Amino acid sequence: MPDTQPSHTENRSQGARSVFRFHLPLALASAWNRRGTLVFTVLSIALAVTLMLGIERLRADARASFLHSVTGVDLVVGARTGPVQLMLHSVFRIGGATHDIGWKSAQWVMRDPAVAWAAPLALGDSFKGFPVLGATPDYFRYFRFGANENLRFAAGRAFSGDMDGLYEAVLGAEVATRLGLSIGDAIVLAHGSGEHVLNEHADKPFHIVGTLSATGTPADRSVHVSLAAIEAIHIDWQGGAPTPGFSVPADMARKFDLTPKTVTALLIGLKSRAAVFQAQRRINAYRDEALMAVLPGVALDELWQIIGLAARALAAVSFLAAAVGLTGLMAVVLASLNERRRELAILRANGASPRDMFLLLAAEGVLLTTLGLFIGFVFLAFIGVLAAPWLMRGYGIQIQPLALDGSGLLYMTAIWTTGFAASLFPGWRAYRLSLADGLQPRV
Amino acid sequence: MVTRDEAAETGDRQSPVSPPPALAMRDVRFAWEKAGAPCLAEFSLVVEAGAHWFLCGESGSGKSTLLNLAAGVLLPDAGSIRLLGQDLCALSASGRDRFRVDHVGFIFQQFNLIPWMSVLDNTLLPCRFSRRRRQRAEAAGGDARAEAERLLGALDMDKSLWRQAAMKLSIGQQQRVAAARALLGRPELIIADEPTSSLDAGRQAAFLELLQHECAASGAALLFVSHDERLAGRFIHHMQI
Repeated sequence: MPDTQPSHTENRSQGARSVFRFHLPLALASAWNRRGTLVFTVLSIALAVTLMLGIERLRADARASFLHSVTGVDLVVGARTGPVQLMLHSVFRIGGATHDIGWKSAQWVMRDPAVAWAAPLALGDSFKGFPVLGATPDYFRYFRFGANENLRFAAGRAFSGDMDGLYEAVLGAEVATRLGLSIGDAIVLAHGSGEHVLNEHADKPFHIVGTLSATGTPADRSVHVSLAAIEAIHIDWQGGAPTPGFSVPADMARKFDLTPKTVTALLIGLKSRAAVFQAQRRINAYRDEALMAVLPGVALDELWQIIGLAARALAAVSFLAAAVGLTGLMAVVLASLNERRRELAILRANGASPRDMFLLLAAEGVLLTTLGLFIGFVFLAFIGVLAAPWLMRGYGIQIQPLALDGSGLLYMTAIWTTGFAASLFPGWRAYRLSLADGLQPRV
Repeated sequence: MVTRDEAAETGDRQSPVSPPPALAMRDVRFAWEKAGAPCLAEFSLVVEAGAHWFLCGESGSGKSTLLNLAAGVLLPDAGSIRLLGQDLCALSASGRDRFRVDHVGFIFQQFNLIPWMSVLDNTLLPCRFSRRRRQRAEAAGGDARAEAERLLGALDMDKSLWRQAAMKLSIGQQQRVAAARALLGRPELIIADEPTSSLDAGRQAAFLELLQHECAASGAALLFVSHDERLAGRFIHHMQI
């Protein structure tokens, strides 16, 4: 038949316009006809997106929050110990310092020409299990966390730092909410740390002058007082216990020299970040006392490696979520195969070529997976925005609900590809089956 | 080429260039399993252009196999099958698919309408997939849709049903839509596989009448397969398998 060949090629060359004029409307109509089932396909794609991206987001943000527990600090200086231990103690207020550093050494560091600012910290006491941090009012100015954010007062102000405000305290957000304390309340600090402390500084109660907003950093769990206050409450103490037969009343303490004798650590900001290694070497080489300066970023990263087990578990969960999401997606798509098979077989019996069938299925696949991805992303953003304050308050994790990083994009690509591949599978099956069925697709 | 097409359309076998047979099967042998007994052996059938053939056989006699061979879905183990002079064995699988949709209209036992599609869209399906069928439908009716409407009208489908979804139709109506779909775009061969088996005798006769009339009008050859011998009387050519 001479006209076979031309018509054959003409049919092939119908081109891209037929996709929009015929395949797409047909695919849409067919999908609309199966909307009852397809809703679940789209939903399963959306949930896979939400789950995978959500867990991945949480993991990344937990890490970022941790690594940004302290920012804007170039060096943390303490007595010589391990860098991780110094960070644990001075920044996270976990464990104890083996040694404090003498005030003379601290002053030497603070006078270093490279140093722009220094915030001395004195740790060791506690309040109902929360660590007490002795600091200068400058601490509130210099301490930064997250994306270079300052500590903010939810209510009140910083302790004054002078003798009138000697017994003033500022509570971290968690301390205030957990214990139901607010400005004007009086608190009694305990000597030492941990839940079961024996000795209290009952003779020198503090009153609260400010509470901080939640930061997601150890500041939330800290009670902040002045360095002088730390000195004052220990003035009549010796070797970790009140000196028998000797006590200095609270008001009397103001008359003593309350310059600290020791501090636990110093947070240092340098004039130029470029000088950080030189300054570090200088401090480490200090002759009169064994000092150590660590770069907080490096130490935090090291610390994260240690406590990163939880994060690795989360990574495993996110991988499992991906596997579950994608298999579920495959299952839903394949379950609708039979519904689809007859229709595809009819189309094929009526002359649909493999190309036509591919286009029909691809159109549906692209549509469904894209819709699912979009809905999933909206879900995620919605949940993220809703959960952000709660995650911040409860877990100190600052999440970025709308951020999309490399692994997020990778997951989305994986979901899209799987959804698309799964949606093509029925076509391949139907094509094979309809050949096997002959031109009589069985019901 | 044009004269040949026109000759086929008018069904005028006296035209100067006589068209090739719609279907020519010669010494066809086919077995489902290579070692097993052949389903068809040394089978020959020639359906001349425009001729109406009745094929009768019990179920299991190989009717479906025969139709699948005639349509090029299956290839014979031996012998030759020519559709409109084209050797099917010489075409690739997709080439046979293409050739089939361009030149053969099928009426299936189960009609195979897409349930959610309207009557009109179901009828127009072959024109969607075959440019040749569409051009021939346009040539006949001005545009494919008009030709589809004409055929539906000719097959006694009430105009009010044209936009209805196929699943809302009765069996008899579905059958007429399937026939209109097969006829649209004037394929040279109509293959009907037990299309009347679910109808009562009176309706069978009426349907067959309409189908034969439309085939004659478009000049298509008809290969009608049924197990019901009573229909044989309505055909000049018949064969028992």
